[in-house]
Amino acid sequence: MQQSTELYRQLAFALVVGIGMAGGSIGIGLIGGRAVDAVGRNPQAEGKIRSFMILAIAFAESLAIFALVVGFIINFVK
Amino acid sequence: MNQIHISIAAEPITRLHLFGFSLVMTNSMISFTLICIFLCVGGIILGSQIKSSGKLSKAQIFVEMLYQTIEDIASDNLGSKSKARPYIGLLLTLTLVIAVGSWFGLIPGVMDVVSKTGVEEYPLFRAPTTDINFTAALSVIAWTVIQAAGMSALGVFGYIGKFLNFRSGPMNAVVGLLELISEFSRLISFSFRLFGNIFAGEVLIIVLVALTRLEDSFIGIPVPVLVILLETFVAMIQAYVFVSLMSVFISTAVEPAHH
Repeated sequence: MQQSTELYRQLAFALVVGIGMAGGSIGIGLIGGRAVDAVGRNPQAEGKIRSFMILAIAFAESLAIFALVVGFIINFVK
Repeated sequence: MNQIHISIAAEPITRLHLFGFSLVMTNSMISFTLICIFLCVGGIILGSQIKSSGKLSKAQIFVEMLYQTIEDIASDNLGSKSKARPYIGLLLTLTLVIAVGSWFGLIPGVMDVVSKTGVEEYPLFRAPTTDINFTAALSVIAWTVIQAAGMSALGVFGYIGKFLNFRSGPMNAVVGLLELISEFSRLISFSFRLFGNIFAGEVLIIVLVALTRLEDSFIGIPVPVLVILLETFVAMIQAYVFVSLMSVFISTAVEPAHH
């Protein structure tokens, strides 16, 4: 009984972090790609685009980080 | 593998008796006290040596560069230097506290200092930004400043009226309520973003150190060094993100409602 609970806990950790991170990383990839496009079209606006990009990445990443925190809570809080 | 010690909550180390209250001192509070003393003493020493002409010391050039960076972030988002001026002190303090607080846990060996209280052994130090209470406190400070900036720019009722406007149609009322919810969700997202990033980095380092250590010896393969470098960079990015998000939210709070 104890062992199967532990098994499910680790499975849930892996699933939560894996699926949650997948969405966030797709978003970050799109943002980075579009930022590179924008710099290619308009190279003198690079500084402004970079700060927008980091902000947008922070928003996208925070959702992935929520999944990570939930995963940590599932795995380490007993 | 069973030497890995990971705990989400900060562990209690000692009790502090203050004004009749008995406060629990956790290891992150001890670390933050040390960081506070370090930053205060460093600030006082640097401030006493400041020069406006002649050959500047390297430390002064570094601090001026840091100030310039924060001023650029704030004035880019808030419109002008004079509008950004009241917030720069707080933004610079938050940057230093977040960056130094995250770097503290990356100093090699700092996590191996152990304190024995009773039967249990806990690490004596813990990076303050890996404690959810600390990041929540930082986000409450940032959030309060954002709301206060909005209220001082638009007036208390003008600011609340941005969220609760039932006079200009049902659409605006729903949008205002959604804005109100997103305003409160910023508290959570501010604190969890910082906590999650830094704590995930620490867990990564702990796991890598445990994996690459050779059997029964203190010598390990220096893979974690690269991750420590990466985490140093991540801590800087998190400080930058916290500060620029805060100035973006201040600039949205002070602009009047348009409908």
